[in-house]
This record gives sequence, C-alpha cells and structure tokens, in this order.
Amino acid sequence: MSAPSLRSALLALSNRIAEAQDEEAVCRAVVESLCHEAFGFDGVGLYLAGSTAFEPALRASAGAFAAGERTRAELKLPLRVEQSAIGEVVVQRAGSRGGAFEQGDLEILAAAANQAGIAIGRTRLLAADRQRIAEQRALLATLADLSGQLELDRLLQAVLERAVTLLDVSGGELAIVDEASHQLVIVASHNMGTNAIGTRMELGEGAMGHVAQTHEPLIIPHYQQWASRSAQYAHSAIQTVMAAPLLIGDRLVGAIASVHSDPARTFGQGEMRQLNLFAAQAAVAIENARLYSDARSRATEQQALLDTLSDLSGELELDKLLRTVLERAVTLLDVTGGELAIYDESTKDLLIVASHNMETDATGTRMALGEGAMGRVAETLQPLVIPRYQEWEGHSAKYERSSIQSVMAGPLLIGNRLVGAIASVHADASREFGDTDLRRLMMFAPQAAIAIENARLFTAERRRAREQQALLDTMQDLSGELELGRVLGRVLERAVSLLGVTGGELATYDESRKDLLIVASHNLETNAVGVRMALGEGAMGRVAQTHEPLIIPRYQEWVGHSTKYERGSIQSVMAAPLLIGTRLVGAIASVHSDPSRQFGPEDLRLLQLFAPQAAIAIENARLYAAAQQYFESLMRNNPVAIVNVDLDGRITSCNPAFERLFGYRDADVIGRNLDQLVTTEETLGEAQAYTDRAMQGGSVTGGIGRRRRKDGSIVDVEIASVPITVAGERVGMIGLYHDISELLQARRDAEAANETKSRFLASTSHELRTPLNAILGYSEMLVEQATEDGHAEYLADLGKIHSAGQHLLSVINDILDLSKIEAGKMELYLETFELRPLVDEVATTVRPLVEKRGNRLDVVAADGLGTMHGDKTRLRQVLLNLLSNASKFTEAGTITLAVEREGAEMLFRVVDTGIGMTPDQMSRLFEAFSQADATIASKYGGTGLGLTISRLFCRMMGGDVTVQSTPGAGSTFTVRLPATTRAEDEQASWPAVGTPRAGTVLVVDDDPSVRNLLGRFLSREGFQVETAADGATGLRRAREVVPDVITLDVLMPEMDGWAVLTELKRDPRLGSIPVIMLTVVDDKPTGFALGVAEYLTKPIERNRLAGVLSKYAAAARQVLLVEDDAGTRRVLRRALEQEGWNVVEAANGRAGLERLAEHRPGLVLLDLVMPEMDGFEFLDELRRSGSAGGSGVPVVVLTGKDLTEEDRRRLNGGVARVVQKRDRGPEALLADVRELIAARPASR
Amino acid sequence: MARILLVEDNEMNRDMLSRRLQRKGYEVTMAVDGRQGVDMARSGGYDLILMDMSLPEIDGWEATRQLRAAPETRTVPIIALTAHAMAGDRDKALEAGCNDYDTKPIELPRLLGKIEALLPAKP
Repeated sequence: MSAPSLRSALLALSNRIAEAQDEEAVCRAVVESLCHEAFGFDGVGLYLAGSTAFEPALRASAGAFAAGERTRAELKLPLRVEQSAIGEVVVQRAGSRGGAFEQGDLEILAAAANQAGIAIGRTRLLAADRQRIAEQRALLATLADLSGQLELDRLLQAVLERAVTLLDVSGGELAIVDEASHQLVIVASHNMGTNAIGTRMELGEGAMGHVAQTHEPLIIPHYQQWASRSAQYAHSAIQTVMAAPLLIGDRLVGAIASVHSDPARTFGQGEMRQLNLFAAQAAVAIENARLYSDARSRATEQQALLDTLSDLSGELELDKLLRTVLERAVTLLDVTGGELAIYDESTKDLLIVASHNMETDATGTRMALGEGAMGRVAETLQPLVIPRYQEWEGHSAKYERSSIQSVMAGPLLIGNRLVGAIASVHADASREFGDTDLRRLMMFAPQAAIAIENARLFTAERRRAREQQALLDTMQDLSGELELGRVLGRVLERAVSLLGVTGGELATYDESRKDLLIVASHNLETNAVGVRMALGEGAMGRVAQTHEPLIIPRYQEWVGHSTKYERGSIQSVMAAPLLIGTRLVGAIASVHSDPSRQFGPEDLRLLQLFAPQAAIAIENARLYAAAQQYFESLMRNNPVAIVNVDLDGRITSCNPAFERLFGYRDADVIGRNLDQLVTTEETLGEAQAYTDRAMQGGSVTGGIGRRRRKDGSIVDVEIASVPITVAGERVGMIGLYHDISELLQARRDAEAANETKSRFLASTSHELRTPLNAILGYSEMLVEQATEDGHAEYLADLGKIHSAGQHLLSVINDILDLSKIEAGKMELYLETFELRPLVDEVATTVRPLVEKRGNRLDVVAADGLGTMHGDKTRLRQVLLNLLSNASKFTEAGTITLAVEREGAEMLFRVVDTGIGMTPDQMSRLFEAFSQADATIASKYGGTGLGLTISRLFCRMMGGDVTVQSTPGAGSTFTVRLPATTRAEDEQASWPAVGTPRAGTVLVVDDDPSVRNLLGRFLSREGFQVETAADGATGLRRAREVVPDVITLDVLMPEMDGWAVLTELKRDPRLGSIPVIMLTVVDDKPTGFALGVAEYLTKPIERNRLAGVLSKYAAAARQVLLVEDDAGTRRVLRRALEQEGWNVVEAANGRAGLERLAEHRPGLVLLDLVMPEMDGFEFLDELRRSGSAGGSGVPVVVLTGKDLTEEDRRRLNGGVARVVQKRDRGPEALLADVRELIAARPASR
Repeated sequence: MARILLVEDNEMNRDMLSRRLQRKGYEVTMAVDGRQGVDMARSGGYDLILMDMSLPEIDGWEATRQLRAAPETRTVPIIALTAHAMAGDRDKALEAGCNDYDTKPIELPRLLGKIEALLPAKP
C-alpha cells in the first residue's frame, strides 16, 4: 500500500463529500469513497437517524457490506452534527485479509466521519432554509393571487383554500366579523365535512371565536377533548385545530381555522408561524376586497348605465329600441312610468314614440315645442323637475286628472342637436325627484340620444336598402317581361306596392298624337284605361308637360283635378313623368284614398328612383313589341314560305306562304317532321341529308330541290336554311322555300326558244346558202364559159354578180357566227398546229387583196415559231379579217403581219399605214353593226361585224384583240392568244407555275371547287396538276399521266374513293404511287389498311397539303443512280439535276439496295457490270424482296455490255428499258436519259 | 377519167356542180337522195362520191354509214358536202366514215384539191 495512492484516495473522499449537494449524495459519497481499494475495506455502511424517526437506518452501503456479519471484523464510528450524534459509519474487513484494524484505519474512518457529519449538517441547514424560502414564495404567490381577486366571496374561498394547501391540513374555515352584530360569520369552508357557511358565532365561541376574542393564535392538540369546542364538530373527525385571528393592526377582520383529521399529524411552532404570516396577508386582502365591494356598489349605477348603453347600442330596431330605452330609464330612475318622444325635423315638433306604464298611452301624439314637460325641455334644451305636476302651469291637458304626481323630463341631445325628449313620472306622492335622480337622468340622456340616433340612421339605411332591393326586384321583374301589356301592369303594381298607396294609373305618351293614353289602372274606383289625356290635363298630364314630379296633398281641392275623379275617394296624388333622358315615355300617378296618409319627400324620392327604371322597361317592351310586330308582319306577308323547326326536325311554326305553297294548314303541320311532310320516297333521303347539313352548318345553307305538296303534286323549290342559335346553343332551324317552278319553266321555255332560234338559224343558213351556192357556182361557171367563148363584154357584169354573192355570203356567215357566239353555241375546235404554215397560208390568201390597193404585205415571223394549241380556223378567220380591214383602209402603204411568242402567249400584230382612227372611232370599233364611221360601210364595204366577231373568238380562246391608232398615220391591231387554249368549261390540267417543278399531282375529287382550288394553288406551288371529277376518270388519268402523287376524295358518286384506291393498288404501274386521302370522312384505319400514304381531313389546310405533297413528290422525283464509274455518275448527275431530279448515287448493286431501303426513288438508272454486286444480282434481289421498298420502281438499264440472249432473259420483266452506252458520247447518252425521263410517266 | 357519184337533192346545185366538174374533165353521175345514192354506189364503178348531208329518204350520214358497211363500197373515198357550218358537222361526217368534208357554197378550187387528194393515183 503506497502512501501516494492512500493520500490520493483520501483527497478524492474529501472532494466527493464536499461536492455532494444533499444528504443522500453525502451518504453515497462516504460509502463509495471508503470502498476505495487503497483503504483495504471489504464493505462500508452508513446509518443515519432522520428528521422524523430517531432510530438510525441504513442509508447507504458499498462493497460487500453485510450488517451483522460475524466472519468479518467491524469498525464503527459515530456521525455527529454540532456534537449530537445522528448516525454511524461502519467498515468491515473479511478474515481473509487478516481481519484486524489498525490505527491508520481508525484515522481514515474518523476523518471520513468528521467530514460526513459536517456535510450532512450543512445540507440539513440548507434544506431548512429552502423550506422557509418556499413558504415565503407560497405566501407571495397567495398575496399576488389574492390581490388580483376583488370579488369578496370568491376571495374568501380562495384565501381559505390557499391556507389549507400551505399548511397541508385536512381542511379549514374562514369567518369574518359582521360589524353590525359583532359576531363572526362563517363565509368560507373547505373540506370540513359539514358546510357551515352562514353560521354565526359569538366572540369566544369555538376555536375561531376564541382567537377572535384573544387576538392570539391558538393550537388545540386534542380538539375533541377541548372544553370550548363547537357543538357542530363534537363528533367529527377533527383531531387537532390551529386557528388565528385576521387582524389589520388591532382591528379584527375575521378568523381562520385549520384542522387535522389525521391523529398522527400535529401542529408545531413552524405551522403557527406560517399561519400568522398568512393571516396578516389574508386580512389585508379581505379588507381590500370589502373596500372594493363598497366602491363597486357605488359604481352599480354606472354599471347599470353601462349595461343600458351596451345593450342599446346593439339594438337597432328603432321601435324596440325606443321602448327599451324608456323601460331602462324607468328602472334606473325607479319611477312609475315614462314617455319618450323624438323630434321631427321636417315638422319641427315632437312625436311621442314610446310610453311605459302610463295611464294613457300617448304613442303617436305630436307635441309642439314648449308644449308639456317634454315640449318644454325640447325647447329649453335643459332638464326639468316638476315636483307637483298637477299644479304646474304647463301641464298637458291629457294628464289633467291623471295620477301623475311629479315629473322629471330631459332633452335627448347629441351635442347641441335635439333628437328627442324623455319624461319620467312618479305616481307615488311620497316619492320625489332629487339631485341623484337628475344626475342619473343627465347621464342617461346623451347615451340614449346616441342610441336612438344610431337606430334612426340604421333604419334609414335599411329602408334605403329595402328600396334598392325593391327597385332591383322591379327591374328584374320587368326586364324578364317583354310583352308590353304585362309590363305596364307590372310597373304599376310594383309602384303601388313600393309606395304603399291605395292605387294608381299609368299612361304612355303617344308621340304621333302628342297626348297621353292611360294604359294601366290599379285599384281605382274608375278604370280609365283607354282614356286619352292632353298634355297639361290632370296630374299625369301636368307632370308629362313639366317633366317634373308633383305632389297634390288635397286632390279634390286642386285646380287641375280631373273631372272623372270629382266625387272619388282620392285624397292625395303623387305623379311623376316617365322619362328616358329628356324624352317623355309616359307618366305614372299614385293615389292615397286614406285622408290620414300624406305623400312626403321620402315617397317622392322613391318614385323618382322608380320612374326611370319603369320608363326603360316600358320602352324596351315597346321596342320589343315593335320588333315582334315587324317580324310577325315579315313572316306573315312574306311571299317566301318560312317554316321553323326544332332540333328534331319538327315544325314549330310556319307562315301563310308555307301554307299556300304546300297546301297544309298551320294547325296540320305543327309537330310534324318537316322532311317527312314535304318529300316523296325518292327525295326523303336527300331532304334529310340537307336538313342535317343545315343544322350543323354555321350559316345559311342553300340548294334546289323538289318537294311534295299536300295534294301530292311536286313543286320545285329553292331552299335556304338558317340554323338558329340562342345563347350559343343550337335550337333549331328556319327553312325558307321559294317556289321556282315558274322560274324553272321559264328557263326551260327560254332554253327551248333558244333551241328554236338555233334551229332557225341553222336552217336559214342552209336555205340561204343553197341558192347562194348556185348563184356563185353559176356565175363562176359563166365567167369561165364567157372567157372561153371570148365574150369579154359579159365578164364585168358576171364579176359583179359573183362579188355581190360573195358579200351576201360573208354577211350571212358573220350573222351566223355572231348568233352562235351570243347563244353560247359556238364551239372551239382545239387542235395543235404549226404556226408558220398557217401564217404563210393567211399571207398567201390575203396578198392579192392587199396588193390590189397598191399596198405591200410584210410578214415578220421568226423561224421556229413552233406549235400552238387552239382553234386554227378561227385564228385564220381573225387574221384574215384584220388584214382585209387593214388593206381596206390603206392605200399605197405597207401592211405588216408580225408574229412572235411571248411567254405562254402568241402575239399577232397587224400594222397598217392607213387612215387611222380617232379615239372616238376606236371606242365604238368593236361594237356589233357599227363601223368607225357610218359612211365607211358605203365607201369600204363590209358588214361591220368582222371585228366584233374577231374579238369574241379571241376571248373564247382566252385572249383578246386590242387596237392602237393615230388618225392619218395608221393603226395597229394586236391579237394575244394563249399558246395553249384550254377547254372553257373545265380546266382538267394545270401546268406548274414558275421554274421549280415539284412534280405531278393528280387530284381526284367530285367537287369542282376543290379541283379548281387545288389546281390553282398547287400549280402555283410548282406542281403540275391533273384533275379528275370521278373515280373512273381518276383511274384513266392516273394511267395516262402516272402522277407522282394522287389526292383522293372518299365520297364520290358512282365509284367512291375506297374503290379507286383499291383499283390503284391493284395496278402494278400505279400501286406504288403515294395516295393522300383528302376527305371529310375521318376513317384513318380503313385508309391506312388500304395503303394510303397520308390521311388529311377537309377543310383542307393548304400549306400542310403542299408540304405533304412535296414530300412524296420529291421522293418520286428521286433517281437512284447505280453505276460504278464515278465519271459517268458525275455527268449523269449534272444532267439529271438540270431536269429537276434529285440524284442519289450508289457505286454498286449492294449500295444501291441500301439506298433503296432508305428512300424509295421514282426511277432507278442501273449499270449492269459492277463490282461486288452487279446489275443482274441487283435486279434479282429487287424482285425477290418484292414489296420491301423497291417494288414498282421503274428500272432503266444503262449498259455498255453487249447483251446476250441469256442476259435479256434475265432482265426480262424487270426493267422498263435498256439503253446502250456503247458507241455513244456522253451528250447522246444524256439526250437518251432526258427523253426517258420526259417520257417517264408513260413508261413507268 | 375519174368517175364521180354526186349525191345531191337540190336540183340547181346538182346541175351546177355536175356541169362544173364535167368541165374539169370528170365523169359525173348523179343521185337525188340518199337511198338512190347508196344503191348506185353499190352497183359499182365510182372512184369517189360527193355526198350532200341533208338528203331526203336517208340522210348523208346514214348513207355513208351504209356504204362503209358494204364490202363493195367500203374503200370508196367519200367527201361530205354540207351547207351547215356548225362545229361538230365536220366531226359528225368524219365519224360516219367520210374521208373529207367541205362546206357549201362550194369553192371549186378547194373542192378540186380535196378530190384530187383522195383519188387513187392514176396509172
């Protein structure tokens, strides 16, 4: 055992004990520290006597401590606190250690015991201090609590409960001194078994009586044996009692008692001290509360007022409020009864509005200022006490013999403004009004005034709100009503109810007659509806004239009163004009037949609020009625049959024209299905489809159809249908039928007449030509004969006969042409012809005529004029006409025929150096039967129809003839004709506009507008557009042109789009052409199942369509060039691209197949001899893969190989054409390819 | 000498045209209506037929059709002559089987050109 470790163990022991905060910790510190192995003890125990029991008990042990173990040696030392032993410390050592204790052990133990004693003493002192502090705190808490408690009863109870808790007793009682009787009254009891509250005790009686008498606290250890014990608790469980007086200084306030019912508990000096402390504080608290209670009772009046006010301010119902105020006042002032009056500012008097407990209820009576008690105070604005009312000089007559003894009245004022007055009365002669009463009244009055005023304002507000509501109701009511008669009735009824009057009248202003017409009467003795009143006549006439409202308080005395009400019960009248802006619509009058009712400014205001709304409602109804009437009249008198049907197609109404047209009566058709009513079996489907379309359509749907009359006859009608939409919802349809039977008949007649005319012309022509034929023929023959026979003298006359015949023939021809053109019978014979031969022929024909007048004919036409598509005969006729005209009006000059191509047009100019024309002459130049000058015909001949006909021909061919001329210098006639004239009725083909050729599109659609639209639009987009109006034509055109893309409508007559599509796909040459469905039928699944490329629904989005078409057309305009020689590829690519093709290259067959899988081209140009995969293998693969990308693509073989019979066999069926490269330069090859491509559609 | 059958119902025209053609050296035989024209043509011996279209009995179109149907006249050139100048007459005539078409009044040089073009080359 080393000294340092022993020292450190001792140091640790001292430290732990010193650090211990309470007794428990000290004990543990002692035993645990002593168990340190440095000390060599096996067990340590500590015994301590507590504050409650003297016998020490084991409080802590450590190590192998066993009390009373005999095998061990024990060493004990007492623990002392300030010399008194409070316990002992015991250490044990087992025999195995040698058992014996040495001096060193004793010293260690003594030191530990000494330190432990000091420490325990210290903690016990500390605990006592803490308890005192806790008591102080509890008291402070009690006081703080109690000081906040001012309700005496609750305070007393709280004080007692605090004391019981503080003293930790079973229960207690509290009594206070009743100063009047000098007794104690028990006012609080807690947990006493018997509740003795209210019990009075004499001083000296019982524990509390005792301490109250002695002013000293008292402990009664054995209460049941105590001589002065209270009989009440004689056999109770109370064991010990401690009581204390409640004193403030020497003054006794009360007493408090606390009891233990547990015999083990006793009261000590500590408890006594606590109770004394507590009692002093409680006494103060109780006294405070008593003082407060007094103060409060003084404040009760104020509180009552407060109550009154808070009560009243919440009361906004004016009548109720007035009564309540009065009742409160009566209660507050403790009087018999009272009255309350309010001041009417309009009449400057008082109106009694409430009466309480008075013999006479004067409510409703008015009093002038100065009259009676209230009148007096209302005048003076000062309160007034009238001790002996019956003797008072100003007393009111109505209370003359009443029981009223004394009266106190006060004005109700807000600031200096008079609101009303209040009066309180004593009927009891012994009662008098004193200063206190006056003070109370003065406190009460202003509050009451404010409450009354608030209520009045509120009532006024609410009345206004009610009026607004009533007006709103009126407006809603009226706005929903459009029938004029009902609106007028409603307006009047509303006005009568709004104003609370007996009845009224309403008149409308007749603009045309400048007078009023009474249109509604409500609850008046005389119903004057229909009576007219001049402006200025009667109340309504007066307001209609002045545009100002009017109140007539005594109607019967009014100078302007209407004679018709002379002996009526009408007492007073209020009337107002009905105006919209300044425009008079009518007038309204309201009457009271009750003489006690009067119209006031409020009524007037209300009427003025009402009048404009009523005016608007009436005007709306009038406008509506006018519109309705207009519409009615339109329907009724319309020569067009009009029928209204609902969504189900059932007739809801129809007009007389409908009845006339179809032969049905209105009543027969209502509710019938329109389509079934007026159709035959054949036309029902068409009519229903039409109705469906019209119902769904956005606006007017029109058409022509045949319908059935009631008698079964058929009528041709033009139909227009207008869908009816109300508030965004489709509700039905209006159908209009216009009988066009006559129109159609007229047209048929006209057509027949025209036909007759044509036949007449044809036959006349025939009849005229036949003899002319003979005249011309014989004269020609005679010329020949005369020449042969040498009879020259006849030749001149024969020539004249022939010439006259020729002239007659040309006149007939011209008239015939003109008639045919005007009748639309002239048809063009379109053909393609070389221009040059035609020009030469015309020149040859006209040359003799030109030269006859000394003129020279120049023909200016470049070589290679090319061809033109048009009517060759008509063109020739036009040119001959212009040239012969030119030669007629030119002498010894030059006539030039110049022909040139200008873009898509051909220009023919006939220029002469003749007499020319003035602008005036030119303006009439092309008119039929008008030559430039009337004298010209005689001088120059001609029918005057030539130019007219020439122009008409040119226009038919899509061109025109124009003229420029200078008088004396010559004229220039210019003919412009399209190089290609299209058939007039339908343009089936639209050439691409501009240079970029996007490809060829075939549009198959039965709707001409779609064809035209797409033709125009797509051609501008660079497509060559071909059109077909039906499926069969579509297929034919597809085979002819083999387009790059086809657009196809579904709904077409005869052969629908699906059938066309199926047929297209079946044709090996057409099957690969992408087809784009363009339809209103949304059936994509069918489309894609049948192999369409795209499915677009109408309406057509043009740009989208163009995009889609471009995509497919571009693919179709792609050439796959499979060729191993890069040089050849380069040359071909350049050539192909110039032709507008996109070129994809592949250096051998395998690469070619790969490209083919990526993009399906429009054409494959294939070399045969190539590395890796040659042309033959490529074709075999292509055939084998079938539809996988390459099927149907035309293949053109380009080869330098001499094809053997075997080669040809292998190629058979797989290629469209074979082009030999051998012996041909690149230019020649290109020309071949160009030709192939140009012919591609046909060879595809 | 070419033999021409002129089928024409109008006497004056028939006389005038036949005389003019004869003056030009043709051998002209005349028929006055369609039926006679067909009968005579089928009896043979004509190098060319000038056929008026508005004929009594059977008209020129029908007559032409009948001649084209008959083996013995199938190849004889026929020129239609008509006073109708309506468009479509020409097509109608060619459709019926005429080789060419000319309108009345006759312009003799033009008609002679057409006749010569259709006559078989002279041996």
